[in-house]
Amino acid sequence: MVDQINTAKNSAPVSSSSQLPSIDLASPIADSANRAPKPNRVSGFRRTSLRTKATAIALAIGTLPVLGIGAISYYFADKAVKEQIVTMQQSSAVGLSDKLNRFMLDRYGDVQVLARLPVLNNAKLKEVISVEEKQAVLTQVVDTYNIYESVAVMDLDGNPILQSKGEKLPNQRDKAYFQAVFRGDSPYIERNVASSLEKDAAVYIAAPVRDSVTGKTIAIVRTVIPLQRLEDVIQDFQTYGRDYDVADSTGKLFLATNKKHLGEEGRSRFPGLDRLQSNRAIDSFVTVDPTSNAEALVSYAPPMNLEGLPSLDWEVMLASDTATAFAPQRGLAVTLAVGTWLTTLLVGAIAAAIARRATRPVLEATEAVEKLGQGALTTRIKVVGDDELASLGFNINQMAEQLQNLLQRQSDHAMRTQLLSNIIVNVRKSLNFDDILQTSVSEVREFLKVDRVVIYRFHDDWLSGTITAESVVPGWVKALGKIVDDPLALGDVDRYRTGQVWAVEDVQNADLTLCHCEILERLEVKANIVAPILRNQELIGLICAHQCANTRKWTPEEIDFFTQLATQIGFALDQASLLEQANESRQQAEDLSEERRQQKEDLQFQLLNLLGEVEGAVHGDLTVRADVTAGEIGTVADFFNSIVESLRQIVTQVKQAATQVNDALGSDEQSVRTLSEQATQQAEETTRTLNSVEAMVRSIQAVSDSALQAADVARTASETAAEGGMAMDLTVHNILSLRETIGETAKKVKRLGESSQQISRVVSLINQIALQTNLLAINAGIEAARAGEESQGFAVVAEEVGELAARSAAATREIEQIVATIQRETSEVVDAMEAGTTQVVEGTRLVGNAKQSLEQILAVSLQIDDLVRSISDATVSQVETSQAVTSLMQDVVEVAGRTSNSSLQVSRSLRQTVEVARELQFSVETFKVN
Amino acid sequence: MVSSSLTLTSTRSPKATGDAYLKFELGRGIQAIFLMKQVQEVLVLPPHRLTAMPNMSACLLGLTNRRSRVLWVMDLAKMLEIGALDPSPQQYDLVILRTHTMSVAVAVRQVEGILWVAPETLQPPPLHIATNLIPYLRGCMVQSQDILLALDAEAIVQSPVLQGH
Repeated sequence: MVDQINTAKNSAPVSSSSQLPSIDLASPIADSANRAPKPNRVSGFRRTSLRTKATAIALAIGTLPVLGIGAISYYFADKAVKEQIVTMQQSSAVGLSDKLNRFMLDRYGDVQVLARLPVLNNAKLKEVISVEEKQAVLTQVVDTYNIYESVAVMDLDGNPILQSKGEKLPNQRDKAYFQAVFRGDSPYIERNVASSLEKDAAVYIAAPVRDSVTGKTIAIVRTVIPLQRLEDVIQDFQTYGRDYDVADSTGKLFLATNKKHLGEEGRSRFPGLDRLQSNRAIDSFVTVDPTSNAEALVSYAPPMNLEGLPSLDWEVMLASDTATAFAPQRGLAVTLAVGTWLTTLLVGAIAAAIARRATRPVLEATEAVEKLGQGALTTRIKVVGDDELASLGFNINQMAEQLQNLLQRQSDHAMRTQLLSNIIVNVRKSLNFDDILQTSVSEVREFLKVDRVVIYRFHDDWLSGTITAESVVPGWVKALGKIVDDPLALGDVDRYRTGQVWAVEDVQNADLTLCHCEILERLEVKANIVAPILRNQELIGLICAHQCANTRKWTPEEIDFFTQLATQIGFALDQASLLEQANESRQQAEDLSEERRQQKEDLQFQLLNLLGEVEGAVHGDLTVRADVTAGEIGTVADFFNSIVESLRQIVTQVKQAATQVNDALGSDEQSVRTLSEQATQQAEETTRTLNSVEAMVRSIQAVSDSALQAADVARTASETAAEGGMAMDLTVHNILSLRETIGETAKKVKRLGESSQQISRVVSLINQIALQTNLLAINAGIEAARAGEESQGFAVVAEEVGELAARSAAATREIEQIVATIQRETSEVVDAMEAGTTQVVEGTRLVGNAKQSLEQILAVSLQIDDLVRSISDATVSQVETSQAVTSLMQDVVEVAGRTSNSSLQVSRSLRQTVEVARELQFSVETFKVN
Repeated sequence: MVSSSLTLTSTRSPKATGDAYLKFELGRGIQAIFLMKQVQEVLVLPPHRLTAMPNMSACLLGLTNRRSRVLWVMDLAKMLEIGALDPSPQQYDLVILRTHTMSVAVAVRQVEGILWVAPETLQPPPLHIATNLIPYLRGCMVQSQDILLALDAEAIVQSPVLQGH
């Protein structure tokens, strides 16, 4: 690779960059688009030129990231700026709300301080200080603060006691603030300011004045702050084109930058505000001002709670036109867009230039290859540098050169092939051996432009040869007919046989054998070329072309041509020799056919003689004999004689045999007829037997059916017996369980008897107790009697107890009787139970007996079943045997029938045989044997 | 089932009038009464509490201990010669008699209860009564066709059987 590039450098020194390639750069894309064969169905991108694609990709890589980054940074910066603007406005709104509330807190404090002034609440001081002096104090307060419109003190009926300078106030009893303080007995700030807008546009703050000693409310002090003062406080928030609006607890505006909105509802001024009011959180939103139809950013601050100040429920809205508010954001967008586009354009331009520069050598190479493709093989590319593109150019140049050479060689070869074919056609025109050789030498000499061409034929010993054909330029030595002694070495013969050509450019300088060299000198040869001639793969000679005037350098094409020519001469000779051989074969065949005809005529003559001699044999005369002569026909006659003799003997034997056959047949026919009759009789008897056997089979089948039925019955009986046995078992089981039950019952009854005995014991105890009770009662009666009249009642009670004891004794006697009855009855029951148990045992035994009987029945029925089954099996085998007998009988009948038929046939055949034997006898008699 | 003839008739007997007597069965089928004032106590005595005494009259069954006092136990029927108790009973029904002089326990067949007898219903003993009984009788009375012998405890205590000692 490196060598090639170096060679390229050396061979094509490029004159640096000063000489640009001569390709027109203006319209390379258009050219290629026009010229290039358009591949069908290729996408648009693939169809566009390399330069366009490279430029497009470079532009894309250069500009898209810049645009992307610009867009992203704009997105984030815009978001941040917007948030900052909104936050600032929100904090302003909160600040406004805070300032307003704090201002009001101060005022709230002021009025409470006023209420505690000793001048007002100290009863002693009040009397000492005059009304004028008190009023002066209030006026001083108004003047010093420069906030209040007026300060006044009312008694509890609402009549003004003191007031700062100004108009005399009317009774204040009906005023809202007065009522609030009078009832609540605590300081008060008017919150619903908007309702008083049309009257005085002021905020009222009032507080009760309590006596310093008693603590009772003695008066009410109130201050009035004009709304103008509040506006002065929040004047600062009007900057940056912002509009403030403050709504009181009813939602109506009482402070506004634009005075015409005063008294409006806050939510009608800013549509969408109600959502924030319900959330009660600091927030912002963009809405459309219904009056001016301009978009506005509105920040909302909910009512604030300050310690020491009752909740005012004042809401603050700060609105600014979005055009003004978001101006910085728009500036940022413009700056970012311009910067991004400028960067994009710059990067795109650089990328396009680089792409154009990079694709130029490739385009040049493309153009050159196109020209080569159209056939302009002289086209070359200028190679600059030693990179891959230069290597590509060099390789293209080399390829073009090789194409040029190849084209030249191909045209020469075509011409030579044309000549060769002409020569071959001339050579093949004749089939004569010598003509072929003569034509060949003259054509070769003419083509190769040599001085002499000879054909040298070897003799059989390969040591010498004759020159059999020659074509020579007049003036040079003729060699035709000369015998040349040029012995060939064995290696040379083999080499020639493979068809190798031997070319010598200069005879003087060539390495040749001495004798060969002499021969060539004699023929004045300076340069020669020799090729073998092969006929049927055999080397027969050589074809030699001699250059006598000068030496000659043989080109490979000439050698190749010569070789092919020698091969073609060989083929022509093959053809000629084949023709000769065919002619010879035909002559030999004609001679052979003449000879055969002569022999045939001789044989016919002899045969006629023989036929005349043996003619008598045709008419049955077996005594004729033929003359035995020499030759083939004599042999035939000899054979004939022996045949006739044999025939005569055979005929004699046949005559005797026929006579014997006639006799034998007569006797045979009679016996065969008898056989046939007997066979028929046998068949009839067999048929009768068959009928009997069939009847027997029917009766056996009837027996079999009956046996099967009997088996069924026996089986049913057996099953019934088995079921009975099972039922018996169940019965025994039940009886046993009954016995157990009875036993248990007996036990229980006995236990009942025992229990009743216990009862009787208890009853006797009770009886004793009753007796003793009776005695005790009597004793008590005795004691009572002894005590005298006072204890008469006690005696009665004792008597009653005695009676009761007597009754209980009677009752126990009755119980004793009952228990005795129970005991008697239970013993009866026990007896009955025992009798029952005995009966049950008896029943069990009886059932056992019955079961045994059933088992015997079962066994017997099983035996019956077995017997019947064996009967059935026996009948089945009988039926089978009978059927076998039947079929055998039928076979016998058939066989008998066949025997009868066969006998009849034999009889008929015998009759025919008799006929045939008679005919034979008759025929044989025609022969003359003696 | 045989319905019981027992019924708890708690109706109080009519107000007793007259004197109180202790009614008892002296012998088989012979009812007798003592004046209640002459009776100290009635009791049931198991036979082993009775100590037989030798060389005494056959009607004296033996001695027994009652409340730290020794008493003679006497078969009353045998003494009055109108029968005798079972020779070896499971228990003895005793009536302790008290007089001014001494106390004695008489064994009877069965103590039955208290009976109020008006003094006018008491009749003199009928003539067919054995004469040996006469000294011990205070009278007779008829109650639901039975004759009740009203015995005199004083006379019994003073009987020669006891006084013989």
